[in-house]
Amino acid sequence: MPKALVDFLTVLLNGVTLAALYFVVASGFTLIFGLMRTTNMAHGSLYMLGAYAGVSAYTATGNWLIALVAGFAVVVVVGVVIHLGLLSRMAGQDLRQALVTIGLSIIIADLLLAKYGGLTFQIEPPSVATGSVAIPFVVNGTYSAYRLFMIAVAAAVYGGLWLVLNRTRIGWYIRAGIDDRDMLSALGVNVSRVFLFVFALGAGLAGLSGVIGTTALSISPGEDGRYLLSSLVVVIVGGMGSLGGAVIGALIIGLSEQIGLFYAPTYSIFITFVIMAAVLAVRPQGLLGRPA
Amino acid sequence: MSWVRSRQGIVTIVALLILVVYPLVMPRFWVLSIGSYSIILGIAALSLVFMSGYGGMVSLAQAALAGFAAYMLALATLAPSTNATGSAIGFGLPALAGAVIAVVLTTALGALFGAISARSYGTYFLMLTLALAVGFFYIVLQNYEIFGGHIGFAGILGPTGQPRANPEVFYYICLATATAVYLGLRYIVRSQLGLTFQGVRDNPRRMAALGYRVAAHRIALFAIAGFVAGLSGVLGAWYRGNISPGIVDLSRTIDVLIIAVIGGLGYPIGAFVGAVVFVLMDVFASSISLFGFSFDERFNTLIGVGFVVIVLVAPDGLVGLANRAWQSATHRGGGRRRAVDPLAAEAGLLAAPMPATSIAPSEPAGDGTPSNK
Amino acid sequence: MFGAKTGRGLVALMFVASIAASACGGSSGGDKVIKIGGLATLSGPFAVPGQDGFRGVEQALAKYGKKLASGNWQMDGYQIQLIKEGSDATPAVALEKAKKLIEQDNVDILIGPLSGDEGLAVKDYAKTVPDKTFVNGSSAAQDTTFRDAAPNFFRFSTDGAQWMAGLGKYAFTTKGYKNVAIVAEDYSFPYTQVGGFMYEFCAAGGHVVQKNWVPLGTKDYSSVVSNLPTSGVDAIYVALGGSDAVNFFTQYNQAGGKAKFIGGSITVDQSVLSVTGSFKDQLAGTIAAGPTADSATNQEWLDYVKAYKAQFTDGLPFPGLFALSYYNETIGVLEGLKAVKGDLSNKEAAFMAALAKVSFDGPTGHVSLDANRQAISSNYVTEVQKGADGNLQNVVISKADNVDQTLGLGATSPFLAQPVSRDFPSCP
Repeated sequence: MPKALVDFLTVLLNGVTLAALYFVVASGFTLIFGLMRTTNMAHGSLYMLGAYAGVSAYTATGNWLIALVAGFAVVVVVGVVIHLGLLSRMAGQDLRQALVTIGLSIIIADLLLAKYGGLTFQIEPPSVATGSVAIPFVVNGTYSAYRLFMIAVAAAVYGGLWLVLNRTRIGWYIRAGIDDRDMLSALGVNVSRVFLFVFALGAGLAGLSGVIGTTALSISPGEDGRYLLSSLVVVIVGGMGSLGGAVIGALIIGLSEQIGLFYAPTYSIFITFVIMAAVLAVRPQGLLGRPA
Repeated sequence: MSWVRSRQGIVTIVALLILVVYPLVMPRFWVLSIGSYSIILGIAALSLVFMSGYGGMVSLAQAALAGFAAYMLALATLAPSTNATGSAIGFGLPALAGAVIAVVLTTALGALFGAISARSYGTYFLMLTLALAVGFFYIVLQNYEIFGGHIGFAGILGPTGQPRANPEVFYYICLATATAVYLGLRYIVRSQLGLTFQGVRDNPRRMAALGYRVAAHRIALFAIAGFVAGLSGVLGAWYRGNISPGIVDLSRTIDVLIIAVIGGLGYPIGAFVGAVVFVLMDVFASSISLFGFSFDERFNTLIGVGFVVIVLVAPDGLVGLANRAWQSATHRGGGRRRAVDPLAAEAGLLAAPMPATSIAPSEPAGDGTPSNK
Repeated sequence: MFGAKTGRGLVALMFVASIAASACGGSSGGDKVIKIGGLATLSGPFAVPGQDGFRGVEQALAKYGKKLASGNWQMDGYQIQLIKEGSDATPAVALEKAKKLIEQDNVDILIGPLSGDEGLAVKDYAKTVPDKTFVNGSSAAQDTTFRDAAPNFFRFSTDGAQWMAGLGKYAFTTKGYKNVAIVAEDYSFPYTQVGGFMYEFCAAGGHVVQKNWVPLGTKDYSSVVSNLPTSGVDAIYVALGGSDAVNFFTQYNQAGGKAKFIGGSITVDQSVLSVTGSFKDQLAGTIAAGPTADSATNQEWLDYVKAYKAQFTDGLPFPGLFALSYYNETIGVLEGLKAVKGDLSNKEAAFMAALAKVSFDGPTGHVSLDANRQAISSNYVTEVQKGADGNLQNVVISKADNVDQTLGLGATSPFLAQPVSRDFPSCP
């Protein structure tokens, strides 16, 4: 097999595995926006909070799964507090909610810096996904086991969300709420409780993805802005509020970033934003989004 | 009523007098790093207030537009030289010519941003402009051939040379620019065009049905805001003497929004109030301590908490807060029946219920424009 | 209302301004007080190094004087007041804070800033304030002093290229690395480090066959790893720091890469070696260079570390590169002040003249200034080795003394004909 083709296939796999991470991060963001129309600008900070919570749990127990649960649970609790204390008081005021979450993101990031300092932390992958595995058609003939594992995690998150949305009563409420909030309320459903559930779940997914990302890469100050941006771009391209859109958006962004990094490193990050602007100029609501 | 009006006139005149006398009595640091810098940031925030107020477009691209103007100014006015990669840059034009070119190009970039985002609304628009701003940041960070990369450009000189050589003159340039922008925007919003902007903001479909080209108007609005942000960028470049990607990074981008929200997103003067408060906090945070807790290192927590509190208790910002206090103080004198500016009513853009003591949004605007409710 | 509410808005504006004006009054008199402004990074990713930098300043002050109840430091016949300001590692903020210290706080001497591009901005500003003395913090760009120097800017620490002294020769001659690929972040500090390495490595006959400049903000290095040659290179030179280094090493390790590494000055420091992760297994044998070495055994270093640990119970396990730089800069200032007995009259002319002649024995070796007021000092080549306790540590391989800014090549060397950049120097 020619080297150029092996290179290309490896870069594609790099892009797909990065897309898996981006999807998991963005899924909570798009879920919250889809139902509540809330642009949670603190999403990146919640990612970072989950990551650090996972680091603390991992340091204490040495168990990846416990770290994952800790990252999810801590951020669920914080999400509930944010929703009950702030966001539910300004329901329906999209911009004001966005502004409040900007303020929150600044506070959370600064307090995490105070607690954990500027150092870098990492979580070791679970034993099923350590080291590298031999697979054909990639550079060197080996590939990171954990990056392949991330694809499985992303698929599990997608499947889990699909089941919740399509096979449970609360999922039925959520889908109905996305279509018509007022009608759902008129039917006697406690909409504010559905909102709380969705915000807590979306926040928890941010925390969960923090642990997953910290295992694949690492966590240090500044990561919040990075994952907020990646989530924004993924859901803008894919269409806000659409789970399938988040998959497509994550694939486009993950692939373009890695292909760019390999073939045109200087402008690799910029390319991402060109793609986004191009998509929006043609389809303002994103690829799978419904018209605003 | 006439009493109120004349007193307001007096206040305005006194305030302007103080602004004019300010640089003559204050030390240089206060003239430049507080006074001039606040005005420069205020002009950038004013471009955002204008867009949000008259277009319903809350943009995060203003810092990028200002930064673009600074880069264009640097390229136009710096002496021709060779950059790191060996290509020649800099045209050595006079400062004022460079400023004109920079502002014209920034207006064009504003129009381009407008064209890209013309069909996006609300939070989509917010995020799209954020992405445009970040995209611009990555271009200037990575491009050494035109934008000088991570280091950017130094040695940018204004028409009066180093600002610190003639602080008062530089301050007056900033003050005059801000006043001109303020009056110019006021003229625009009271013109036929301004009314159309508001119509497009409030009901794009109806305006389209009436034959107005909605997208074109939104692009024009973005271009005007680009012009204003460009002026801020030119003054900022003269003030700093340099331009680098740090000036257009994510936190600077959000700073402009924070300034506008602190002052009051619905009030043009709020842009300047917010800028003064922001600059003072920024400069003196290291001197602030509460109950023995110094905010030296936790400055961002201070900013974040202050921002959340303002959004919670004063959705129309400090100016809105002062307004309400004034209203209740002059309540008896019939001061309520006062001209209502469409922008003030547009404080409802934050979708915050207007407090009873504040201006009732349902009142028709004093200059005959229809309110948005 | 663009008209109607102007009055009240302006009132609010003036109200705020008047509060602020009253809040910043003058300070009290007493013994003659010399004001020193300290500028380091206190927010963002470089907050930890910035705090350590300030520890360096205070350690030097404590060595020469006694802290008074007022917070000032009593010296022989005068007092020193230290006023600290924090930046966020961007040139714009560093410039703002430098202006605040010079113009609002009226400091006589400024010590700072921390990072390279901040240093270039402050140097440019220094030219406009010729009657104040500027002393570097830990910023290490070559051209802060090498090209277009400011006559009132002094640097008692070495630059990012000097920090590579000895490494290129060691890699080529002793380790036998002939062909090297480079992975580095895409901005001035790594350009300087890569340049310093290549001055020696290329001059010795080595080849740099591939340079990967990774954009700032990149965290997923997998496609950079895929792009590295799998054969034909003896080692990979990595100039990344902190989380970027951790990410790169992790992904290189997971992709099954086997190459040896050469590190920049912050690539394999304690902030990376103290991270728990399996990527570290591959780091044993990595050579690097820098102005400090934790495991140095000379008495000056041991005394310095002991004093650091005694003075700062909340400090780092070892004073880092940033603490040492700020420490040396402050020692330089205090020596200069001692020489003129605290006399800063005549636009600080006598002080600056004395400062240019200062030389002293610092914790890592002798420090003196060249004609551009740039330090000539010592540098270490180190190697990561597994200690008796199983932890990785940097072991000193060699130490070079009196390293000048050209690494001994001389200012007319073709390697110094251009500023370092993505493409220069080059020896493919």
